[in-house]
Amino acid sequence: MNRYQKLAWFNIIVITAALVITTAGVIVEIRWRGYSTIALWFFVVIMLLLKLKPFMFMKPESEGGVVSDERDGFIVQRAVTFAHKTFWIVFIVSSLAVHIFWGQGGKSPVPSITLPLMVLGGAMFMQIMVSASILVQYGWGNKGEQS
Amino acid sequence: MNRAQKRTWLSLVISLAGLCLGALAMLGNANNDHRPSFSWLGLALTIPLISMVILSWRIPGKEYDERDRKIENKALVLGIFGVFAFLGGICVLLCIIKPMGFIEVRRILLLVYLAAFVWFLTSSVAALIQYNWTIKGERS
Repeated sequence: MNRYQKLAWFNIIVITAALVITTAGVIVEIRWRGYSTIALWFFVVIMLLLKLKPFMFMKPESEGGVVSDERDGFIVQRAVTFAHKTFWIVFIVSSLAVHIFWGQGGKSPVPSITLPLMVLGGAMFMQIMVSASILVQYGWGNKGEQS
Repeated sequence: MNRAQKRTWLSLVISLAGLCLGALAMLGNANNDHRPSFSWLGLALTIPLISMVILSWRIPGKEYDERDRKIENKALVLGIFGVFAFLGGICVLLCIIKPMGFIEVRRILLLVYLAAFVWFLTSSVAALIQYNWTIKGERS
């Protein structure tokens, strides 16, 4: 498994962990106190782990090898393009769906927090799509690729 | 000017038009009086958005060379940064203006449309900067 595959798995694991732990924390906190403030910080702290990515898995797998080659770069580029296209389709279609199907239509109000949540959700969706696309192109598992 | 540059210029013009229309629709309804003309203007934003999709479909990247592809990829990544900077800025602004308030669903849709045009604009400008803005006789 090369660097980009490891990073893709790391992405998926961190985002899933952040979602699961935060949801559990919010549920426990709401049952306990009636409102939630602390659990949301779990999300921020766990997501900060993604900032470590540039420093991770930098050691070449084989002696005297390179960390990544042109094929890896091409795969990452394709993954970013695919994730970007998917992101826009989902973002626009979901906004149109909310506009059409939400309550009394377009004029109905939603809490201001909806927009930051949409942006955060969009960014997470994009990260997951990039990671999944990288893993799909490599064939998900370890096939003995070495850079 | 090669095909990729022509496409980028066209994309820049359409996205600028879309942004102007979107800003007009947003400002026209700023005081919540729901004037129908501005509501239709918001809906009319779908036209430049669809024309951008048609543009990328009718002028595919098959005839580009490696350099054009590299420039396009770099522009795409910069466009993504631009979109999230725009949306992040809007979120911060919204949290300052009305932290516990409400926003109309159609305004969210309008913001998503505007974000799409910001992406087209940022990536077009990034691509044109990489091509150095001017015509230097490049041909595909």
